Amino acid sequence: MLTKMTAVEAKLFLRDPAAPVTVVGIPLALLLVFGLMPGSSKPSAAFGGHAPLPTLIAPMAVAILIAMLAVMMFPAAVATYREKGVLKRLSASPVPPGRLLAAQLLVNLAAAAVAILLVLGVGRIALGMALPENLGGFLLVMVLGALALFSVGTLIAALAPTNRAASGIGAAAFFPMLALGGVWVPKEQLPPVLQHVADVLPLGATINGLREAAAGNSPELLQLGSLVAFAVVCSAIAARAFRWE
Amino acid sequence: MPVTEVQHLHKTYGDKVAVDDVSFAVERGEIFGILGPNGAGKTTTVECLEGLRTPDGGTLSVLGLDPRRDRHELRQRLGVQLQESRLPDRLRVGEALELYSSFYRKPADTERLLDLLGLAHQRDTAYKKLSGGQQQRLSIALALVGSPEIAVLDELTTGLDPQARRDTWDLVEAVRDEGVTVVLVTHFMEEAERLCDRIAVIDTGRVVAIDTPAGLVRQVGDEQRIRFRPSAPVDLAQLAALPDVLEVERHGSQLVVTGRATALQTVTSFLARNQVLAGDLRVDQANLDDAFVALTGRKLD
Repeated sequence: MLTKMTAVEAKLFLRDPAAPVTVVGIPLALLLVFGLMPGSSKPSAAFGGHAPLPTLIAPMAVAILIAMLAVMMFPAAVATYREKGVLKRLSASPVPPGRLLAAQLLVNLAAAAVAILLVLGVGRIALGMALPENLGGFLLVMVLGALALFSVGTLIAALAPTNRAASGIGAAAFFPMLALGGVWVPKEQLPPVLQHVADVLPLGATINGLREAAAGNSPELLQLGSLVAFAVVCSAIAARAFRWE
Repeated sequence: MPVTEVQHLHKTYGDKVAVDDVSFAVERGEIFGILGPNGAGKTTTVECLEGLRTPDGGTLSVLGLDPRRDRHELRQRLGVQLQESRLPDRLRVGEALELYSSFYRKPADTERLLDLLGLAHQRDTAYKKLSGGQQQRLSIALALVGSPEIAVLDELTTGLDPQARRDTWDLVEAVRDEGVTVVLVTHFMEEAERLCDRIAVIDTGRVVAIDTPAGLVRQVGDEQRIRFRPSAPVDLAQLAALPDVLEVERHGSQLVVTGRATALQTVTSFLARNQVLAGDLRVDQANLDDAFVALTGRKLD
């Protein structure tokens, strides 16, 4: 039943051309614009002796991609279903509406995986970008980051009554996380207090954890811990709060 | 043995009483109407039957099941068409039916359902490209796709044009003829009168009457009003003295005779004996609208 529903949701996702284009387009553009700047693949003192493309831009592209899907597109899709009565209709059938939430989640996670492979593949092949030095750490942060951000998204999806509300809450979560996470201003240039905030909020924790791993270090415990905490707390609240109404 | 029994159902939202005290029983194989103005508590009542809402008081039994406790079993056997529930815009008709049929133990033949509902040519059409009538028919198809014993249809012709409305009525009769018990929520008098075997009239959260459409009309009396323009002067005193005639009034050149059910025969034979022709003859009988006004003290709509 979940398989069938996931297959249908996947078809619907692909039928909305705006979704896949945004998902792949924004991070890819980010990577290409920076990647084509001269010197982006060379170690630079301004970036702590690392090359900015693999250790800053690629982590940003990956994290932003996950966050866009997780807190903007996924909750908006679920809230639209609530607004239209799709969830209510499902509640009156033998299949609980939570199944549709799960199917949407799977589709968006799959979309994130494909988009990440595509973005990193293009970086590697077209720009000759270096692979993350700590590949295991990079994968770990990516998975935990996806779990944390999608849990935030599930919480929004559980609570937002309409598409408009979900988009509003999603943007209200996404942009501050972007600003405080070290995207507009790299973490090192933030005041010390905000540096901790950058390692705690899920988007920042993902970006900065990915940066550590890309540069060959271990992700910081604060980053990993906060990702796990967000994943557990948000999904627990979401599971209790989710209704068809 | 009724297939659905509701006793003293009570439901509030905050401090607003949606359903005050509603009781009725639905027999197998009938089309049972729930008729009332908007906000009377009709939808809340059926949403409690469907297990979508938890009642604050009263007992419910559908097919011998408790709609909340046994909701898993009930949903296999109860088909539902909800008011104002849509499907994803890009979902196609065939996909929707196929998806929903995968939810049920005994799915109906989707091909036959598409034919029955006149959607065979729309199989690959996206939901948002369907007309209002087609969307409504698809939602009826989804209500039937699990081969239910009871189908609850809520305001299914609201927003449809008159032709689509009549087509949908034919369809509901076809569904009943397949042996499905139908619970029909409506605020259209004509729809209730045309389709329902029995009707519960609900007003401000209470049942004010339950009867056949004809029975409801009979409750408000069987008077008829006969209007005509006589071709020659008529003796009003003689006319008023006829059996069955209760009252005679003159409005300009028109006579208005109020009488009992058989007054028309009496009046026309009286006129024939006196060689008077009745021009512009009109007979008004009490109908469900009058019954509704008498029962609730106001008009529908």
